[in-house]
Amino acid sequence: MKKIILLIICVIYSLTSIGQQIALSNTTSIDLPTRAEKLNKQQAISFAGNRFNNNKIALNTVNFFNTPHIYKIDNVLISLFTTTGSVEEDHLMKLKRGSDETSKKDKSYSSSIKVINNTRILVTNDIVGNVEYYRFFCFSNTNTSNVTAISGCLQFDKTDHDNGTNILNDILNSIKFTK
Amino acid sequence: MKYLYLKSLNIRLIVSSLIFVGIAFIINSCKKDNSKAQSTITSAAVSQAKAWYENTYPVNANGGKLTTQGVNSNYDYSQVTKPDWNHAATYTRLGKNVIEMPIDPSSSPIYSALSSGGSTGIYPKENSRSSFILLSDGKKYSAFIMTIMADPSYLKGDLSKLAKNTYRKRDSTFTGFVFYFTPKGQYSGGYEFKNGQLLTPAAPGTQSNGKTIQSVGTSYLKTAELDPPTVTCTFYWDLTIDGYGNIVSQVLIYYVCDTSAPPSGGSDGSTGTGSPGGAAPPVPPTCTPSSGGSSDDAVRNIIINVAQPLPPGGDGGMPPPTTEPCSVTEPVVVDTTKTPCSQVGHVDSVAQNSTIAAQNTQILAKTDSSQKEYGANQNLKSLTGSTYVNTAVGTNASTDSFIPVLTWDATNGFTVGWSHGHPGGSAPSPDDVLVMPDKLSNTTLQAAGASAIQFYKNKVSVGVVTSTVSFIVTVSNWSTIQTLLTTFKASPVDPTTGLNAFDENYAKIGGDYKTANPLASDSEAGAYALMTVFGDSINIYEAPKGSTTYTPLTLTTDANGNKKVANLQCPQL
Repeated sequence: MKKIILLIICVIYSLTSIGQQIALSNTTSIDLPTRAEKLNKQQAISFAGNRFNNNKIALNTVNFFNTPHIYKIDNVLISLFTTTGSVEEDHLMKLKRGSDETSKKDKSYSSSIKVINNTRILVTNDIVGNVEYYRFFCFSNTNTSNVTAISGCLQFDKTDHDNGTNILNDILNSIKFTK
Repeated sequence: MKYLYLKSLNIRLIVSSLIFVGIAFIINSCKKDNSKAQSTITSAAVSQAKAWYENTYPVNANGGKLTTQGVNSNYDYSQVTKPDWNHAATYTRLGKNVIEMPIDPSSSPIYSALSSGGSTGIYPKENSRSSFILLSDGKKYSAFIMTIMADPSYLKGDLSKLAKNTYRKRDSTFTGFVFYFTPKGQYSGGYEFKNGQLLTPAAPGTQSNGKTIQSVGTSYLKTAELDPPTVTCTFYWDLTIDGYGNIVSQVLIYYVCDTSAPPSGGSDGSTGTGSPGGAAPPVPPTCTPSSGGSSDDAVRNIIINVAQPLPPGGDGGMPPPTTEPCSVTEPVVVDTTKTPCSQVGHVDSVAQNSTIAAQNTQILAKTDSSQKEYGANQNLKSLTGSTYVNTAVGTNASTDSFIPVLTWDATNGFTVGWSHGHPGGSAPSPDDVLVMPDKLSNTTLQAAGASAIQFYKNKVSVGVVTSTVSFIVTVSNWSTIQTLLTTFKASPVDPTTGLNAFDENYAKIGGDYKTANPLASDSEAGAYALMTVFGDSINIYEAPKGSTTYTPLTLTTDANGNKKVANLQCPQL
């Protein structure tokens, strides 16, 4: 009887912890928790309008993004992108330097390059009104031609900072380039 | 048939668990249907109107995303905003069937702001509220976007009072304006109220207390020729602002001149909304063609509106829009000296001038080595030649940035541009671009007179050099960029970021572009943001590092409906 109960507990625990692998393309994927909810663009706009109190810039962002990979985890809106092509040399660092320069007067802005699973990932963080943003950029290799990129944007009310940060870190830790 | 019997209890438990997990996995993998059930449009009249509207104003093939819309062309609202058919109010008024609806919250909102060149933010956009009005006489429909713009003295900080003013009923104490546009952006008239009373329109040239009050409804009016020394006029514009904070159209509501002499540009057409104190009785509707245009700004369309007849009765609602606007559309006259391709020769000649080229080389070297913004003023030695003063390359030590200075004399030279470095490789910022209109108010330049101002406008450019690419920006529409300067100066500062809303918007647009296009350079994202914010008021040119041959940039739309930065191919001469 004890064995049965223990087994049931283990099964239930594992079910809630199971993530789902999201294939962004044939060669890129990330993991999201099972509670992640896939949204279409209209749903994302509606959510953003309600959650972010119709913050104009936040709505602009959601409206601008044209991707099938939009998710909501708790009250965090996640938009994901992937593409393949060529870049300038040292592209990741140039993105950071340019972003830093554009945002040098923004008191809320910060950026860093994290190395996770041998992948360098640029992460920027800033706030506009009540909405906090994380953006991330990473590339499959350091070549300048035939590079695969994964990028994304997390938007959440700044009171959800801790959860937003945790979700970001989980996503970054799950990034996979399979080729 | 024999059944497989699992003798071991443990094996049975494991198999049962696996079956359980499998079932749970299948259930968990099922998508939730999160979509809310749509409210059903139950009114047959609304359904019929909806069918007419969607057939008359179809959203274009790229999913409703605008490809290009410049400020001062008719802004096509039908591509970005739509009625909320599920919240329609239907009634009869002034002999027409009316369907009044708010804007669908899932589409782009529309705002209006009252602005003038002399002061900013007279009525901020938050004081406005837009809705859809469909009118039908039983045989045909006409659709309008009605925008209420309320005076702060009426609102007293209570924006909820905007909702007290509808097409059917206006608040008895309403002070402000109501404007009508067709879904295609054609201005269809406006009215002004004070304490609930409609102000009667004034005839052109009406003298009132020594002031000449002109009321027009043109979508474009040049101000340069209306500023001769004998006349000082203040112009009041209705700025339409989309959900992204971009000014998408401007309508001159009226202007007030401080002398009794009429402006030299002459009347621009029939009357529209009167200003406070309008004295003359309304004149019969007429259509008169507009007078000529500016010598320097591109003319798109000039649309003249018929004087609004006073509404019959006085039923307490809003006066109706002009359902049959009297419009005289001037042929589109494009100023050929201001198109991107027509200016590229001038841009290249500046960049290839030996003095300027040497300055830029020095700017880049000092910027790269110090990681501070170095720059130089570009001053012509005379107004009749193309020789530049060899001005010093420097930086401001306290701000680590270049401070542009304008001189206008034979000793220091005549400033027609500035160039500076961006150590981080970013594109020109709004602050960099707005130096050009901002320097128009320089007292030395103003004192030099109209021809000097015109010379400056024809020649001025700003350049940014980086270690990977260089940019030059010129002005193609002075009226629009001056309005943007007004908006910039009036933008509130976000206490969280310390940025004004204008700069914040620019940064986020660039950030969004980078996120959606991770292979694009940071400078490409910045160029995209600049073109989005400034529209067709500027031309932006790019040259690779070390090159003095520039190519104009433009925005294109890819197969998925996404806007991208691209080189504009100019015809070979």
